[in-house]
Amino acid sequence: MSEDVENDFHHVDFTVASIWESFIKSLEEVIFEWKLPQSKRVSPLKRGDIEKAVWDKKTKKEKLSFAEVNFTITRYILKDPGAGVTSPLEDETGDEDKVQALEDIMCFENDFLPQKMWLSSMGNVGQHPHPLAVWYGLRDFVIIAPNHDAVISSETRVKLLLSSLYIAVNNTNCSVPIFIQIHRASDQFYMGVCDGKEVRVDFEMVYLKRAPQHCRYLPGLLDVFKTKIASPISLEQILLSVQFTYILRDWTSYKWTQQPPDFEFLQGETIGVTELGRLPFGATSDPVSELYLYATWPKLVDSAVTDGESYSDFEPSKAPHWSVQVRMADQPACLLSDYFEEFLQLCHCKRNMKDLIGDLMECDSSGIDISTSLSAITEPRVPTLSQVLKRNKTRPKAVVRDGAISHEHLMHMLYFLFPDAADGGVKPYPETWGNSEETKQLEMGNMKTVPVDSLVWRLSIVMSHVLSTLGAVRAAAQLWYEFCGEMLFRWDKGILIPGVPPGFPDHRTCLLNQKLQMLNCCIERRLNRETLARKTSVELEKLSSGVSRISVPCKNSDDEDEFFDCSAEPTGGEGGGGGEEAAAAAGAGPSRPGGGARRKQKHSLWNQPVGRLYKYGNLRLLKTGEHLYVPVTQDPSPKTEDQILEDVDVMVHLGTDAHAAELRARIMSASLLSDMESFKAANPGAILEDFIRWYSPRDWIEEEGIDEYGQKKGSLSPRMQIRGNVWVDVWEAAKPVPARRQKRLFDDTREAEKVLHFLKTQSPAQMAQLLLPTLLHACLVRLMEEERAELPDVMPTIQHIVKQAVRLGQQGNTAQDLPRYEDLSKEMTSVEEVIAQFKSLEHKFSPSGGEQSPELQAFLSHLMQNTQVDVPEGPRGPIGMKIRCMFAEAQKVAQMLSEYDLADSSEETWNSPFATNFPQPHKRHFIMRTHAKRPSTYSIACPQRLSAILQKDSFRLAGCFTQDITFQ
Amino acid sequence: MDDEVLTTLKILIIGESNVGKSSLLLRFTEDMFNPEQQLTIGVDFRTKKITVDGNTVKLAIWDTAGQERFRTLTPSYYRDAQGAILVYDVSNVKTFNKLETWLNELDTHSTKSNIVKMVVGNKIDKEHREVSREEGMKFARRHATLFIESSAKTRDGVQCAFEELVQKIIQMPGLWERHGDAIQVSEEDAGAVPSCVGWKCSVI
Ligand SMILES: Nc1nc2c(ncn2[C@@H]2O[C@H](COP(=O)(O)OP(=O)(O)OP(=O)(O)O)[C@@H](O)[C@H]2O)c(=O)[nH]1
Ligand SMILES: [Mg+2]
Repeated sequence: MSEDVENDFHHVDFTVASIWESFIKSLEEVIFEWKLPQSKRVSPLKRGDIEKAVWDKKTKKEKLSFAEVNFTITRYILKDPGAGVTSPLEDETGDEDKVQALEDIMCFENDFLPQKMWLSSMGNVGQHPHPLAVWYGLRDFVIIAPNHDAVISSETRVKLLLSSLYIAVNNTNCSVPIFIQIHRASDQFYMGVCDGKEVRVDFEMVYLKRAPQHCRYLPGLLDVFKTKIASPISLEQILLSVQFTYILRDWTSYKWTQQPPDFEFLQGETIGVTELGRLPFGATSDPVSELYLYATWPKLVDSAVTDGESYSDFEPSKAPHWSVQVRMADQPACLLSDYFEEFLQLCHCKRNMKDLIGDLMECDSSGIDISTSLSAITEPRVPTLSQVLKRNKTRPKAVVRDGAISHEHLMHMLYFLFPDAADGGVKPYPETWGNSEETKQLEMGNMKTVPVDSLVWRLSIVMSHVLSTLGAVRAAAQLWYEFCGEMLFRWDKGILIPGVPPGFPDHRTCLLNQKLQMLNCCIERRLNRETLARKTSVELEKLSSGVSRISVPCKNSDDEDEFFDCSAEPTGGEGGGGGEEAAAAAGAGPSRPGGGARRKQKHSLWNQPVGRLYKYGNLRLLKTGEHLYVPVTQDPSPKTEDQILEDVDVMVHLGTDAHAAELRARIMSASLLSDMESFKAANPGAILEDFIRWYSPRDWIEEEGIDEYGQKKGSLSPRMQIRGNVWVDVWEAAKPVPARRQKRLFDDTREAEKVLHFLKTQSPAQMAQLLLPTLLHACLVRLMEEERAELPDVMPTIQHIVKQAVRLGQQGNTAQDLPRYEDLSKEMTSVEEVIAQFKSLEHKFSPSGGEQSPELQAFLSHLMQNTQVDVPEGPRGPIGMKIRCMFAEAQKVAQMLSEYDLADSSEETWNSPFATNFPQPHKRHFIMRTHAKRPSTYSIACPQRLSAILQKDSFRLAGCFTQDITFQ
Repeated sequence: MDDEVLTTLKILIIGESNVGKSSLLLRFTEDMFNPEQQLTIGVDFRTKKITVDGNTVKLAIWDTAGQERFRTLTPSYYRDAQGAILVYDVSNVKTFNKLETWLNELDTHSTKSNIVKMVVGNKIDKEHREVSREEGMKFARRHATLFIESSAKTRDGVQCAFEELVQKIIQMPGLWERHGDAIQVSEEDAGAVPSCVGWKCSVI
């Protein structure tokens, strides 16, 4: 493209003048618009100002064009580090004619600015601050760059442009340097001028792929500088600043990586268990990829140094000043985050259980009927696992199909999840389920998950291991299948599930935990029912043989549930004690048949009081004068949150009119009916008033006067007296039936089967979604363990994730919220990465892990901020020594390697055989400064500067040369 | 009333038996008072639209039985409630003393950590008073809840109680941000919801 433009240009030669003039005119307009000539001098820069302060960037796109090439003009200006905006320096006398740009280029404070580089989204390398600031120490300059892909290359055009520029600058007295970008943007080649008040200032550049032979060392560069200045009289001394950069890429023994847990290796009975319960953490490759060492020699005098092929004073270990910077690896693989990420993938899995593990399922179904293996009554103290039974009967130990978990591993996991099945040696569940202090502090307790280290907690972690390191999706499906099998086994055998917080389903925990709590409730109810039935039958035998009492078994005597409750014999003294339940609860003494004999007269055989819990104060039944007993009632029904939602739906769908309210009351009155029946059974001869006095005392209004049994008279409240009121209706319908013989309000068998069905029918994705919130919780706890006070951003991020997680839990729709979980996963990754980076640095600089000096702590936390950090005491301080060791070790390894292929060492570089402990410098940067009388002996001495930057594949000179235009 | 319902809010009414929970609800939804209001069995449910600050919301109000025997039944319905009205009877100090228990009950069973609570002293039409307005206020202040006194019989304070509760809930975007399938997540509000609701007393 540039070629074409070139040709065009020659064709229209006669118009050049006007092109030229219009370019100058537009440029001047911009210069005036930006008020460049008026720009005031500001206070001198302090070290680090250019690097840290904020740069302003102003851009103009339109207007400026030259020979059909359009230009963009951009101004870079440093905001005053102190005031935020450039604040003019108080004008001191005699200072008016000083030029900011010239002050800046001669200022030592700005030497060797650290430059950050990054890859922009378009693949360009972004740099901050701009390289011109780095090469010249400028804080205010303008760049004119051709738009798009246009390139200015030919010498004639460069000259034309520069002269136009020079005219514009001169006309406007613009003291802000203006550069023109020449060649491709990526070459970063700029030429520029500025008005130096009586002094002409030229910024010139040389850029080559390779340093010319004579420019490889300092003396040659000094010659170039001197020649260029070409002062008629010999120069004042030249001041030098030098910086060599070394890169360390091979960490040798300072490498820090983490390996995923190796379960093959951890075959031992107990080791596997600790590993199983712990999520892995850290990066699998060193998260710190490179260390840059900058050895600096500030302010040397040219005559005092030697630098050459065979000897150089620039030996890094002798540099007065060292600073370092690290480059972090780009997204190193982090174990914890990868675990979570893989789990998220499983949440999207489209496959079903049958596809994944159909073969295993078949193999089992042809197996054993576990219910026959053990009798519930002779159950062993230590429960076995469903798997143990299966192993014996069906699955040979050796057979492991593709992607399935080996039997060995499976047993480890199951014993870890169900430690009650092992004979000790396995980590039991905690006794109580409290959250630790720090998790409370972070509101982790509000996450809708499970208590730390409970069964679901462990399952989520084990599932994660299985998914990520033990066989992927198929293995995960298998583990779930085994888990469901174990649940069935437990229900079948009546063995409580361990690691599940006691009590009713806790709706603040995740659904899976609630389901397990439900299952435990069912198992518990069933066990209670069965023990009670056994005891009753034993007692019945005793009674029927001893005292001559008649036991009347119901028609289905084989169904223990249907036993007629005949042990209504009061066990206490007159009217004392209740039925067998109370006796069992209180561990009451031996029965006294005498008391029973007397009672017998009061109640006919069909009207025995049954199911009494305790006497209710001194209340007596209104009609018979007997003590009023509180009956044994049915226990309330546990419900999981999905069941509640169904109930709520039913309630809502009934509508809101009076009829609906009535219907709701009827539905809800099942428990009322049950209580009334129990009450009637415990209190033969009772009336509704008696019931109300116990059940809703406020609806019993006491009146003046005493009844025949010495109690205050009273009557039902008006609302209880309304005809057709639910209470009256239900009372009339209630039969005297003790709680134990009523239809169960809570059918444990049915509920247990519902839970088991729920578990069995989860798809792999649904299963993962059930566990996901808990796994997230476990990951966060793991992050907290690794959290470091030295990393101030970590805690706030964790806190933020917790807050989001709490909210997601409340919304309770994991499937729909998966994208949000993905966001959290990313945040978690960044935290893990940062912690890993820090650990890696710590390992490198303090491998023994002992107490760190405050100096080292500060050093490390600065390194983490990705900036160039000074090494205290340079190469002679403790940190410097450590860095030297790192380089030395890496060099040793490199030399050992290179001895193998000495043959191709033909490529000669600036070889310095003496610096064996350091590699070749990655970059050598020399800054030369002086004042020189130019162009004639009468001229004033004006500032001259040359930066030389030498790298293996690039050689750059950036010079600023000035000459007196008054005294030529 | 504006038909564009912004969202549905779930409100709970809890408190001892006979304090007038069902009566308050009936007054609010139907503007009626039934001296023969029946003892609530389990839970009951009513809805009503209400416009506060120009926003129309639908209230799904769950009236629970205060009767002790039903307490195992009712907490299940606390789930997902955004607001709770805790009622006591100003003519019966026992019902006031039980408020603390009800607050605990609420904390254990509600799934939202930032549920808006309001304490209501009912039956102020009665001549016989056992709990003064100041005592009620003090309690509310201590527990950082809203407070109002009312009478379901004379309709004093009833409408106001519901309006204020709704207003407070609407001011807390975290509570009702999700309706339909749209999730409106604002970065801020996740953390912005204060752990306790500022106390505010409305004059009737
Ligand atoms: N004087 C007066 N009586 C009221 C007021 N509110 C309710 N009552 C009466 O108090 C009694 C109880 O009212 P309910 O509304 O049934 O009480 P509740 O709190 O719903 O009772 P439970 O359903 O058992 O929890 C009824 O007889 C009402 O008529 C009121 O503001 N003033
Ligand atoms: Mg009621």
